[in-house]
Amino acid sequence: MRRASPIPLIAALLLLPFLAHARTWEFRVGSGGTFKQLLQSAGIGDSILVSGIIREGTITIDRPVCIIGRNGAGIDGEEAGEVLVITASDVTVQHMIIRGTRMSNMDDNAGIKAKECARTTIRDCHLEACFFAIYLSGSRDALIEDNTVEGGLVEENEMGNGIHLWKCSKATIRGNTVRNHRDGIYFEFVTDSHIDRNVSVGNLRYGLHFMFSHRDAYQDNLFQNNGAGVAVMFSKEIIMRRNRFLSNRGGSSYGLLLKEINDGEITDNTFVDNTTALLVDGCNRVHAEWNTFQFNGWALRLYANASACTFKGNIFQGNTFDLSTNGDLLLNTIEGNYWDRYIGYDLDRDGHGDTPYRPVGFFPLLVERMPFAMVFSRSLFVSLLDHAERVVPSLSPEALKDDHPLMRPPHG
Amino acid sequence: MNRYVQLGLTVPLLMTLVACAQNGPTIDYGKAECAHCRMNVMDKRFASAIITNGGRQYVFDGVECMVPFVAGGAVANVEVAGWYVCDHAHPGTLLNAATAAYVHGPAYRSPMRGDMAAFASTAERDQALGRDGGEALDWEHAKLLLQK
Repeated sequence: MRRASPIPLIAALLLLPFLAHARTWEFRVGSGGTFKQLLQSAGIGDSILVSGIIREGTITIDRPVCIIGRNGAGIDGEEAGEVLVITASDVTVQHMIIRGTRMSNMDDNAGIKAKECARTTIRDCHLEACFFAIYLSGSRDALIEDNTVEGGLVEENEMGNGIHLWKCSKATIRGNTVRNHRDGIYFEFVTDSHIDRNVSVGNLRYGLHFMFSHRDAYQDNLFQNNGAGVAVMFSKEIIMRRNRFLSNRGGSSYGLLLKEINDGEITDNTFVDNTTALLVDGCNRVHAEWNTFQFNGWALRLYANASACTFKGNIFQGNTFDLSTNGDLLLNTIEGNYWDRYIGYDLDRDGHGDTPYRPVGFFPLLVERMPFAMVFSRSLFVSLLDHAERVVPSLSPEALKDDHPLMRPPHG
Repeated sequence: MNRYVQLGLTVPLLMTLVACAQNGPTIDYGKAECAHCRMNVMDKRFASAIITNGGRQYVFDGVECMVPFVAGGAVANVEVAGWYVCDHAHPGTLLNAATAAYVHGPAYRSPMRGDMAAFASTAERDQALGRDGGEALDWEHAKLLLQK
């Protein structure tokens, strides 16, 4: 057996005294000296325990330190500009209240802003009344965990994003709650990152918004009552699992809006009470399986420009329209889903209906072309036409059918 | 008699509504959806709109969506009766796009990354140019750049 080189071990042992030298400072507001002065004397790896609310304008952390708040400790920017700016790698901010950026959409003021840093950790903090709450740019390996982010009640539309990442990689956003911002969580040019177990509620635009971001995953999140739902746009290889998209209502509101997505995976998600649960526009190879669509206006709007997308094992229950489309050419697979409107039979008892189900009725096609025809929804005439279309399909695209619909919901 | 009263009330009301429709586009920020990229229009510094000869309006989240929308043929160029862009210096104020002054540069982070902003006058534009840098453009050059 080859012996491991002893050099790294010796180097580590030599470094140990310096690491052990990291000090812990105690800072109390009002007991002499400013926080900025203390930061100047802090060394690499030091910890600072803070009590009280610091009011010293914008604070910049330019060295790797750990700032930990005692109960109720924090920093108030008093609406002067940014509150906390991090310019060094390996900075941790924990258990702090951060509040009061300047509210202006002319400059992107943030509660905590990290620029060009690695391994920033923001944990267990409470951010309130910030234009942008947490803003990372050009950073990698950041961990944003268990924070609560509460936007202000400033004039509507004039609000930044809750957790905003720009040109980052390998970030983890986990267990946060974000309310009342523009977009709850916003990713632009962010790669190889994870968004897990967050709650994004009541944001003005999107609960979660991806732009030009690749190889990311978001799982086990709750998105509810956001202005326009969740949007994933111009991105590749996004994994979306076990999220809940609830009550995103309005004319241009979606549970999940997919625009120009390649190679996405949508599995085990729940869509309830949205105007449009899932809209697929210009997507390739998006695979939606084992999702539940209940009580939505439109469960699925699949545009004709989508190709090689598959929809399998999904549950469609109590939706006004199960599926709608705007064209004929459909190179997508819809198979083995459960449709509560299916009235076929299963003579061979293999669990799949023996006759195909055509989820696109006459009326959704009409509404897609003439949105204002919606006023005739549920009228006698429309249901007659719908039945006629079902018996003698003439308008609905031939390819748009489920040849093996499930007789029972696959789970639950 | 009653019918005449109704008519007398309805006709002016309709006329008012029609008159309002001619008064440039209105953008319902936060609710309107960009006709080109589908994003919700929120940013009053960058939003834009067109009105067609038929009086229909299309709203965009930025000039970088408006120009390709028409260039791509979704609405023919000759069908557009008016082009409008937001004044970057006075968010929410709509300008005639054809006479506005433009700047293109990384300091202007418009929603779809066109990085272009419009100003009411060249003086205001040049002031912004001096502060944040960028390239000065007029409407025709702005269109050429965004059609690429």
